[in-house]
Amino acid sequence: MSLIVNDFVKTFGRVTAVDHLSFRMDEPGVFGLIGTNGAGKTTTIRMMLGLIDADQGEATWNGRKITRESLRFGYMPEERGIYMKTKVREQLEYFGMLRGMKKSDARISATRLMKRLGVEQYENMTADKLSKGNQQKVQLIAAIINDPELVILDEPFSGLDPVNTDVLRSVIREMVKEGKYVILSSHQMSVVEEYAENLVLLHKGRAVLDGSLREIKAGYGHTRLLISSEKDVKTYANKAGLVLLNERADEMEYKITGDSMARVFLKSLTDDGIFPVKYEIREPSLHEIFVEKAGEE
Amino acid sequence: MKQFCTVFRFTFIDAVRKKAFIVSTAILLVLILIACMIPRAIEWFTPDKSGAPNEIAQAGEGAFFSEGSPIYLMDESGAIENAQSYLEALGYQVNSIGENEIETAENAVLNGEADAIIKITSSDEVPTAEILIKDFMHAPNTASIIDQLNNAWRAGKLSEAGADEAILEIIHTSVPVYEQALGSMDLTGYTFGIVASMLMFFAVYFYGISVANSVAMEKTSRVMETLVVSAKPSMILLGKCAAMGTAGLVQMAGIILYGVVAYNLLVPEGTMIFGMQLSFSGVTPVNLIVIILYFLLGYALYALLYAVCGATVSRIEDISPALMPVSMISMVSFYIGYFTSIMGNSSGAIEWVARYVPFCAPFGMPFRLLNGSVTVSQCAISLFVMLIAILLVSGLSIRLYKASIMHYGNRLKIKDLFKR
Repeated sequence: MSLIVNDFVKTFGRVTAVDHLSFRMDEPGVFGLIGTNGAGKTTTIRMMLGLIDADQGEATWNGRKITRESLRFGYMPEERGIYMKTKVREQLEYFGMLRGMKKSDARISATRLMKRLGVEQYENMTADKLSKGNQQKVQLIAAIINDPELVILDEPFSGLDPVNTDVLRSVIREMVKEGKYVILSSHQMSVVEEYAENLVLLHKGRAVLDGSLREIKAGYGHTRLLISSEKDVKTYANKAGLVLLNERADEMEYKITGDSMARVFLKSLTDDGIFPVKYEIREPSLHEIFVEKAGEE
Repeated sequence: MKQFCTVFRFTFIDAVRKKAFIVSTAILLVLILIACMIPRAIEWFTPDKSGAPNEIAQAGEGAFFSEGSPIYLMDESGAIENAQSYLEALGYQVNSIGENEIETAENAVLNGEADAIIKITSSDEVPTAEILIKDFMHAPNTASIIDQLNNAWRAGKLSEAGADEAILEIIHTSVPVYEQALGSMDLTGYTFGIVASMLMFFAVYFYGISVANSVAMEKTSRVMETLVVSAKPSMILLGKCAAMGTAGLVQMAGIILYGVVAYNLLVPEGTMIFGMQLSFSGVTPVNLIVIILYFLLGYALYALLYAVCGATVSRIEDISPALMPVSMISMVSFYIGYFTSIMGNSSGAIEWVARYVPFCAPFGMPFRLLNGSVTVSQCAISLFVMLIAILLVSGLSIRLYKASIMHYGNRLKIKDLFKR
């Protein structure tokens, strides 16, 4: 099974929201759709699901255009929306039945997911009496009640407290284990970095980076050096050509051009009898890559 | 179809459980109960209960007009000799006054203590009468007063000329004239027709606006995004409109049924309202079915348009201006249907519009049906045209609805809707 987005273009007046965007997802797992606010993530999702018409391009699932009929998909929109004056269970069953489930199946699925997400005690309460986090859980259940093959989560972690964030994380892991295709749209790079094997990075509607996260990072090589030392190492770093990025209380972060630069720097320290407590060479984070790419644009 | 049924069931249950629905139903039921209790209460509190309920009715008969209230007569020249007795024969209490009392009499008329002042002035040949009244809403039957004054003057003149009693008797005898309506319209049918037109308007208007509010609420609360990934927009739109219409029909039917039961149990037999006995001859089962059809079709037509209006707003506070175009259409259509009904005998283009233009027909046809002023073929054509209109409006509304529901930001203009 594969999801292919081919050459999506969407303009609103003079603004090009999505500009010739293409990506594909060939295996189950998590795919990251990342970018700043207004980068075109939500517009891309809406075009994929046929909620709005693309000016150009199409999204296919196993070669067929994605429609409500051709694919069982679940979607949790960024703007949360549930019926505030309707009981939780009633609306979950309603959304399940709208997606073709029998009432009894929708009831069973709602019960299972409410238990899984810890909101079963609210089943007979109207949604307006729930906390924001619990409303978000109800929204997630509404999105996945029909056991979809493709799950699209738009900014799923925004507004969640750490406990609920962990619950949602575990649900996403379970979905991946079950072989589902999950698209995670977020402007929080660390969230996507945790799950996504593949991603596309959007900036002003255009893909500035796409592919396997591991390969992208590997392509950048080791560009960061974290060092913690009892003695001041700034002079040595300057001599070796390292660029200071962050200075924290217990460590400093430098930008390096590669492993050889790090080796020269370390040798100059040890030659003078300075032995760092921490010396870590690493790849750039997704956040750093994004900032760099967006800056280039 | 399954999605339609799911949306229908959910929306219907949601609509009938709403506080507004329950409270409005309760208020209407209480009002009907009170209205039906009034004649019975009058009967209970009337001191002389020996008479049949008809007596209560008779007491009310004619009370609309102020016969028996004083009328002032000023005829200082005595130009019409027996004017007072002739006017008293009409049932008025006639007080003769002089020129110096005219101001007091005028105040009495203005205060509603007297109906009119009749000033008779003499001239060479024929006296002149002037009737002073408060305003057109508070006037006695001036035609009968004029008749009696003429009779009095002629009788006086003929007596002077030596005419005998037999001739005077002939003059005072009127030719009996009976008016018989060939059509089935009677005053009750007329009143019911007006009430039916108004009810139709309020039902279509309020249930239509409920649809608009419901759609706008779904869109502004962002439920719409979850909904449209679950079901086709057309099924959401049609299911919602059908459910709200059914809720309205159930409410109306329940209230009417309750009204019929309350009327039969509580209203004394033979009760009259404003001297008019209630007659349900125009309310036949066939008429009732056709009126329900007009309600359903009229509601469907407006609800679809109202739903589109609701879908164009991004913020719930923008709903009023968004509804304005359809509200204007419904208002104008109602007035066309209503006024051509109550004025009767209207013909030509405006009558044609009221019968056949789909926006007007639901408001104009119930009156005509209840009063038998429409033929079966006219009714059939009107319904057929409405059906065609609904099909066209459905297609258009679904298109506009789909274009609107996922648009947020500035309110969509009509031209933008068609661009998509």
